[in-house]
Amino acid sequence: MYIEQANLSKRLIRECYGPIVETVAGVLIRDGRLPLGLLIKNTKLSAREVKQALVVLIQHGVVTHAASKEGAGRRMVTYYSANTRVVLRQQRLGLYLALVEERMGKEGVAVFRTVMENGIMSIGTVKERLGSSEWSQAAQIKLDAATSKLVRERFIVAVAPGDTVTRIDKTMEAEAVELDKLAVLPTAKELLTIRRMLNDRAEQEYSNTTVVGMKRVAEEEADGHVSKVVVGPDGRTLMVANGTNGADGTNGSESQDTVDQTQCFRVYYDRLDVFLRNQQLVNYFADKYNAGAGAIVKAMLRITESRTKTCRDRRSEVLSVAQVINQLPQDAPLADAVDTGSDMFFQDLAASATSGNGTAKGGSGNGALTPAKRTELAFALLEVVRADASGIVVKVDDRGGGQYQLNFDRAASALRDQSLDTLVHEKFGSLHARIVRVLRDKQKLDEKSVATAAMMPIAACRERLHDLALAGFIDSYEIARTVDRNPSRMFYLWYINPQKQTRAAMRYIFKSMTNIFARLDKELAARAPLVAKTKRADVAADQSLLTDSEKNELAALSAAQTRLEVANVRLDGMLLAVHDISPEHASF
Amino acid sequence: MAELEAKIYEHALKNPNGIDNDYLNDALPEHTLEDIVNGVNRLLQSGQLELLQVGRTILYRGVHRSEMERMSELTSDERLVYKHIENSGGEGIWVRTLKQKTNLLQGVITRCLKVLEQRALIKSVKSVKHPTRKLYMLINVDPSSDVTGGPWYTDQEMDSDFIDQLARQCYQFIYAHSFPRHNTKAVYSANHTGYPTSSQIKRFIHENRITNVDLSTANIEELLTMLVYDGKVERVAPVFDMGAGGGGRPAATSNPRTDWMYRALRVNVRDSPLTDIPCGRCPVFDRCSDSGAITPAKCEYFRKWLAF
Repeated sequence: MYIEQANLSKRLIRECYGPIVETVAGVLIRDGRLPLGLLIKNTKLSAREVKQALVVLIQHGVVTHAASKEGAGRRMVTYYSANTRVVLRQQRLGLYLALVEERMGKEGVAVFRTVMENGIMSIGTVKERLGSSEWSQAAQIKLDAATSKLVRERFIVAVAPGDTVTRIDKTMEAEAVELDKLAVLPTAKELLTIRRMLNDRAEQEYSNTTVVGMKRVAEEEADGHVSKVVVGPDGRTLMVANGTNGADGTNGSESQDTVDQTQCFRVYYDRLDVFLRNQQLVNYFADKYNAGAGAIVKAMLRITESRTKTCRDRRSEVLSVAQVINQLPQDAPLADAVDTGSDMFFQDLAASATSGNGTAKGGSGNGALTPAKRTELAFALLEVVRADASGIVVKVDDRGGGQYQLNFDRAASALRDQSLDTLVHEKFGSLHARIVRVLRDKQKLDEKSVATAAMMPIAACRERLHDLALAGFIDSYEIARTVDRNPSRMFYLWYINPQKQTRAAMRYIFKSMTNIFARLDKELAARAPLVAKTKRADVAADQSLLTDSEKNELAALSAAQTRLEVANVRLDGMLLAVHDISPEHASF
Repeated sequence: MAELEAKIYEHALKNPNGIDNDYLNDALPEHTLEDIVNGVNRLLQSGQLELLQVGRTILYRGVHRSEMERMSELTSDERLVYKHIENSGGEGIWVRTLKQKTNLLQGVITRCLKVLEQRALIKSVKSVKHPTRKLYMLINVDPSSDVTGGPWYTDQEMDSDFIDQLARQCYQFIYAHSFPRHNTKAVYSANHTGYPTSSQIKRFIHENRITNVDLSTANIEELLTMLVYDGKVERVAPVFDMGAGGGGRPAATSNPRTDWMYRALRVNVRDSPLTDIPCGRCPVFDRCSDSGAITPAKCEYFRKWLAF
């Protein structure tokens, strides 16, 4: 836990939930796992206030609880612990809302926002809050459809009672249950076997694709004629679908999935990070090559989205070329993206793919591209992104024109390295960035070898190596030449430790974010009387009551706020690239 | 005997790499081996021949008269030091190494080196690899590239300006061949083979007389590797000849060393979110906190940044 991360978390909690909740969360973050009694003592608040704060924090998933038996009397004591990861997500809420609105429409974002603001809520309660009972039937149907889509695509997930229990305690409890089955104390090997089994069970649970919270509802009218109003394929219009009973007179009732109104749901932030990561990947290829390459990767990621649960998944499903081409939008910028130079190789591939099973749905596309040409360009671009040095797009088979897969492990490394290289380049200079790339490529080197590879004088190289080491971006490894480990007779090898590099960058990011918040507070405090004046009813109704200088001050405040908030969002994007999307760090 | 010695001397001068007893026996069949050996010994004593050891073989090398005259003025210690320096060739020899090989005292070596330098027989040079060491070599020998540093060094110092300018020229050449001319937003397909190789870049530099310095392909590859590490260029693997019996075997004439191609990357001006704000470049970032003299609320850099 970094001090900077703790300070930032407290700041965010204060902004979202107020000072009392901030005090309670601050103590939990500082002191770790605590029972209620100690929490009350350390916070110096009343028991009622602490309990209410804990309810708020548990409701929003910031705090988890776990009960354990303690003492001679084996009484149950409940411990509370804070999860700063959830807190830090608060900065991304704007991005999540924009993402949901883009994919689910206004109804979807309304449901999503209500669930998000309340932490855990049932759909029935959400509808009450939105007042949907007073809406028209068409609007209610749209709302139901949007809710079903949110649940099916795992933007919101069902909550079980055990979800608020601390994960490590659940694991220990499960382990204790297994150990109780044994007659004697376990050996190390047996313990390892039990832990592996529990791990496999957790993995299976994670891989389970069943969507919890949906139920099937049969819809049938009295005359046996089944008709229903459904949402059209564009997700916006409504249309009537008529069906008839079966020929033998049995009920031809059709059923559809709806969300269980009594089931509680919460927002699944880890799933939403997948979309943010995918956007960064698309930008990576678009910047490196062109918009056409970005469109190809975007199409591939769109296909994999439904099967990719969180950023923990290391590889995507296998995609065929036909799937990718079918997913490409008609206005994808392929025309000027790649120069195949009348290469027969891609023309033959295009011909074999369109003549076989791969029915490429090209249509007429934009006026300039025929379906065959579009397929040829798509093939060529696929090969371009496959040949990229990062190894993100991998060809696994040559059947049917090619089968491709996305390696998210390498994608996370590529995005992280790009962010960190840019940071080193901007903060220290191009020569420092060159040294970092040399060390990343060559692993451990002494300063002479680094100077030779980087083509710089050895004295300058030494200075730069120490600058980077001081900032935490590189590390040194000592090899003693003598038994007494005399420092003057040691080899010092420089290398990049990715975890340490990430931690160094994260410390900078957290501290900068805290500084931005502090500055924002200062800007608001400096103009507090003016802000209070603008909130007066008379001034709110008539802006001309403000003088010119006051208006200029307000404009300056607004500009400062915007600039600081945008900087915060960009820093959060960097945190996502550097840490959150890595499969090792992504939670599930 | 003088005639025999003259013949042996003549044969030795004809073969600068040295001759052995077998060669002399074959070349002078009219003389016995004993006579030949005696003749060789007399020539060795007079300094007209010198001994060489190549592996386990002892060879005799003829010493030219000019060299003999030079050597005749030297003492035996000076001659020994001179020989070791001569044997080091363009690499030069360090005083400590000289001491180890000759087993002479430091003072004796220092005196010998001073005499040899005064007689303009040897010179001292500095090595770029070991800037604090003085290396000695013969006065008419050019130091090797290991000592001088090669084309990248001028006066024992790395010529960064020269490297940067040359790298820029190479990058421009690679960039011009990395994207289709009719449409710079497009890219070439994955099996495009028109990206420049190091030999093509070397030819470009030579033909356009970009520099007078003689650059080898290895030097060019060092420069291109530097561009790769700068993130401006990437190395593209040689394309296999698909028509050569299938299975992607490399073409018969391919040289694995020079067939790597180089492709320019689109360097988009990108700033880091961290350095976009004043904190990223703040010299007192580590001392900044919520309280104290340096705080974000009092920060002058923030004030200027927000007012910009």
